[in-house]
Amino acid sequence: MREAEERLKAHLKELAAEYHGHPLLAELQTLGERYIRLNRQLGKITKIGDRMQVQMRELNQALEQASLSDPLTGMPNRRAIMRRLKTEVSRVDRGGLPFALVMVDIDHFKLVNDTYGHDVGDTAIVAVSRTLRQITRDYDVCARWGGEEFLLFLPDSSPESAGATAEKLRRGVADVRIPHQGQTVTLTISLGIALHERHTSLDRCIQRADQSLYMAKRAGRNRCHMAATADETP
Amino acid sequence: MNSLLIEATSATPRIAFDWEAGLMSIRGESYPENSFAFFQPVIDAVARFLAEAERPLRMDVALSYLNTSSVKCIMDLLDMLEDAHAKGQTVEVNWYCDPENDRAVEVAEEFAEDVTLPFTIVALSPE
Repeated sequence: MREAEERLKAHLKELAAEYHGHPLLAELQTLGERYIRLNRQLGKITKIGDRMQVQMRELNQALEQASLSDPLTGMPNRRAIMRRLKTEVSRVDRGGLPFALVMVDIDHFKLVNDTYGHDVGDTAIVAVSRTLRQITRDYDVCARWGGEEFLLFLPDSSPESAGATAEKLRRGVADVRIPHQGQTVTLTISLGIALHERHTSLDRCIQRADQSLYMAKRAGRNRCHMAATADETP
Repeated sequence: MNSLLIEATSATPRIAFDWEAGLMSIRGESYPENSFAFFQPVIDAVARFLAEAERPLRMDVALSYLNTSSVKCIMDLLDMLEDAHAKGQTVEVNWYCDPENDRAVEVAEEFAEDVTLPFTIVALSPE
């Protein structure tokens, strides 16, 4: 920018040398210099403005990212999986393969917290989240749904495959050992499974997974329960 | 009273001008509704100091966000200091920014590039 300015100044000098008329030129010279300065400022201002805008954009993206993930487990949060599920529902409605939702809840979690303290409670949540991720496929989504609840999205699922995955998860978590002050803390989970069916609402599917979880809890915990298909439920 | 103190608001920086020490400090975020009105007293104070006080002037700037018209006002201030510098007056600028924030550093460099007076970019971790 400085270079352009120097060029303009040189040009003005040349003009002055060629000009032999009325001394209006002094004013022109001043105007020219002011023009150069303003032009330089304008160039700078727009460049700096652009950088500020990029900074805002990057900040926005970081915020967006933070608003979609759970800080404790690093998993997608409820908001994130809901966003994903909404697009998946329309995909299934357009003829895509059905997906399964699995609602997972750590059994007697309050007892873990009360007995061993909240730190162990947090460790338990992280341990379960890790096990869920290890056992599910890369394209499945495991999200933290709330306190000690997780929601799993398993695309391209049949009742058999979803049931088998849920059972694997149940056994996987039952094998988790959390060392705590010379003791070993063990955990179990209950799981409610529902297959999403074409042209039914997402809320309905989540509700069915939730009801299945409740059934699993009622039947004694540390087990899976599969929802009947939407057609069969009232 | 030639000194100046404007407390920060959510949209305007804290301005503190110590006439005796020859120190102008601008700190915070700057997106006033009317930047030109907001910065006018600052520009006036600097102009008066450069004209009257026969002492060095230092300007400390720590602005994490500036709207476009604030950029223009800061450039006007820098131009005034640059003119003083060209006339042989002792002026300097310390520009504080978070070294982790690449964009903030780039902005600082843009301002620095525009002047020949002593302009130091100082690392400042965000509070």
